[in-house]
Amino acid sequence: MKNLDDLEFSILFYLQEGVQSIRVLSSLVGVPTSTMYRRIGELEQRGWVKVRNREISLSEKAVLLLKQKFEIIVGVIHVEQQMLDKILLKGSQPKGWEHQVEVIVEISKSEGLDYAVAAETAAYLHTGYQTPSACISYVLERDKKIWIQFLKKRWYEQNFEGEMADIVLLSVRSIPQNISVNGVQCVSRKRVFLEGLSLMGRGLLDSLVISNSLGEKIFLTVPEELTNVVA
Amino acid sequence: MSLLNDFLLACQKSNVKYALVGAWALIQITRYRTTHDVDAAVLKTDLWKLKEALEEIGYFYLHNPRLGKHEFKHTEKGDIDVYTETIGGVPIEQLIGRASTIVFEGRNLRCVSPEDLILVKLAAGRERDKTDIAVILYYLIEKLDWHYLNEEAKKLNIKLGEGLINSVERLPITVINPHKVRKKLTERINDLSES
Repeated sequence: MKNLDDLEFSILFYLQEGVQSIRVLSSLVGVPTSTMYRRIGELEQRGWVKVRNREISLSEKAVLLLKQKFEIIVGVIHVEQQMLDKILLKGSQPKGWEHQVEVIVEISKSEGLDYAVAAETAAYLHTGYQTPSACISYVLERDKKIWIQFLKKRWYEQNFEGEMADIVLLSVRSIPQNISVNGVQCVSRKRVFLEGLSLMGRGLLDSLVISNSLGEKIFLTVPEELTNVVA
Repeated sequence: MSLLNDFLLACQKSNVKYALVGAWALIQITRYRTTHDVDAAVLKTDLWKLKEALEEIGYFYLHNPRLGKHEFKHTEKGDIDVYTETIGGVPIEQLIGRASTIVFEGRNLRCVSPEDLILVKLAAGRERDKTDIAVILYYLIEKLDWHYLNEEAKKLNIKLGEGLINSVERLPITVINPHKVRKKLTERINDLSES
């Protein structure tokens, strides 16, 4: 999947005015309906629009993001792009997220491969608030096959259905800026903040927790709150 | 010791009937994301016993009538939120009555049923609730008691189908082929839900 382009920004712009049909959107943006179907499909996959009974509307994620500062919107679009190329792996035995992080750190040390844990994993290492469900980590695109090879040697597999991954590798051209937190390379708080907004769900809670330390304000358009200990 | 341990020990010591709700109740399905906080349904008649047991180990009690909950706060550990009337409109007796026991890390935990967890999370409607519902549906869609879900949703005036379809848009990043899974779940929700 590619990054959002001018046509997709036009679609989002018109949807801010309310629910539209494919036909009306095609005419407003000036593209054939076949192109519009394809683009709406892509926007839906990325969680920006909702399609219900042939009517297109902005998703809750889009409504929330479009209320934020320009800097945040641009940041979310950027990190979302870098999280598109994913490799999901499942271990042979049920072990917690801490074990998965240890595996990534060990392979990195033994093979000299760069990484930076991201999203929910980095959020927990930075805040200690919401436990992660897996180890999510950026790896270099050029090292992707080596990572998979070493993880398979440790009995991780790629083809599993009906379960959730233990390790998610996000393949990127360059590893985002990172720092060591308890011996684990983590992306910055700012990046975790943006990743949470991109992922929504429990990611929004990660972003809210981190927004306190960053001094960022999230304009909420959906119900969410923090417990007193954090707030 | 964690909030969950403190709560479980207090319930055990004082013979308090409870059922965990919130993220901890997801433990019966999979180990997903949780905060330190504990949310639980407790019979009204047992509240004073729980209060005594938790105050003994450093918690202070606050009644929050606006949110219909009893809060046990610990300055370092966090909050244990206890409900004694209803959660999301579902009566506490019903939640406790339909709860089941699971073994987690060597301890017995009483958790509300997956159907009740869906109902209380639909009523709460926060982003985190949507992801939790998506996780339940991902693992259990064919095993849920849809008759119960449909009947209770009607009583609570919850648009079940719409709420569940909205929730599956929040499948976690750890799910393979999320678009395909979402489509499949949406089709099944349309088949199984009546509202």
